[in-house]
Amino acid sequence: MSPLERRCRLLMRAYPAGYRRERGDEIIATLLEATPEGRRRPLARDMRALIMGGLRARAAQHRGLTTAVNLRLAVMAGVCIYLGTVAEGDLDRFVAGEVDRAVPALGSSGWPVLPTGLLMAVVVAVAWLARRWPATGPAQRWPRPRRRSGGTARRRWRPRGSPVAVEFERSSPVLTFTREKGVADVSIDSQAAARLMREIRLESDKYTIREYRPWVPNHPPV
Amino acid sequence: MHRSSTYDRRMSSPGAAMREPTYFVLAALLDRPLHGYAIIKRAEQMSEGRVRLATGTLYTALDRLTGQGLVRLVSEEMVSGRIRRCYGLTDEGSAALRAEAARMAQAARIVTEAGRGAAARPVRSRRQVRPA
Repeated sequence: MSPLERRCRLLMRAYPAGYRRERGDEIIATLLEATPEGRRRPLARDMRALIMGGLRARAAQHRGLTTAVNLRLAVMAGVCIYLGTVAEGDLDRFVAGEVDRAVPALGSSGWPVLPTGLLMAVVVAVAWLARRWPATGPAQRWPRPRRRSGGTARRRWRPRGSPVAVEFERSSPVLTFTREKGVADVSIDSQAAARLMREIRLESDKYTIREYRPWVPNHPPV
Repeated sequence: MHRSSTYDRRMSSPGAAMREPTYFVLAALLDRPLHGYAIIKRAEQMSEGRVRLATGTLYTALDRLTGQGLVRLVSEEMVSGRIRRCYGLTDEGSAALRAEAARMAQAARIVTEAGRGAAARPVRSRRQVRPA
């Protein structure tokens, strides 16, 4: 596989797995044809369009959910990642009720303000995109590759070294804080959309929070 | 939870202006079905280089147009070990394309004919109109 093709395949990761399986080879073939001879990476505009296309295809997958829910999901993911990275130390204090602000103060754990700010900007951008592009047309559901094992088809994503794991189920996305492998400290179930942003249920018996209100002002009722 | 978005309503309303890339993707398929890269080339050539579709944009558009029933998959073949799919216009697609062409021609006429009309009828200045 040429370096170009390897890069193309990497870019295709922006698309949902089911979509990749269905269209991946075709798109890569077109991409290879569209890239001028001798280049080791696709054209910048092709790269941009693939990433955007991938995000759109992912957004289209969740068409069953309304735009508002998509928006909330994006913000919720932001909340989780933010809390997880900023507040691993703060989490204990936070859940114990010592931190009464909706969001732990920036930089309180020595987490630099700048990356946090950037992260916030990314979250806002994602939320904005989710709102702007609720869909790319009629609902498109790309069948997921079947899991070999039975049970719920959850996908789990945990950035290396991150205290946060994000789990997605097809019908109901679930975001989970995890500090030890397989042990969920916090999980947020988004199926009940109205409740979704207000409540973090702690699965560990150590903590309980109810009525957690994140910083989304006046989000519309569903 | 199911609710069609404003986007859907806007896209499906008849008479809504088609965006230029969409128009040229459909126009590229007017003669015969084409595969991905051929659509990109043909659209670029037809628009005199103005519409240069990125690969991702093309496939997003094809997904959408297929979903709307304007374009359909015509054939699938293997070319040098890679899958190649050809897309063609449906009847609905060519009707939509022609409707859009008619709409643009109409819109163009407003300007071209207004230009001639203005030349024929000189505009009076405000000074002359105002009663002294």
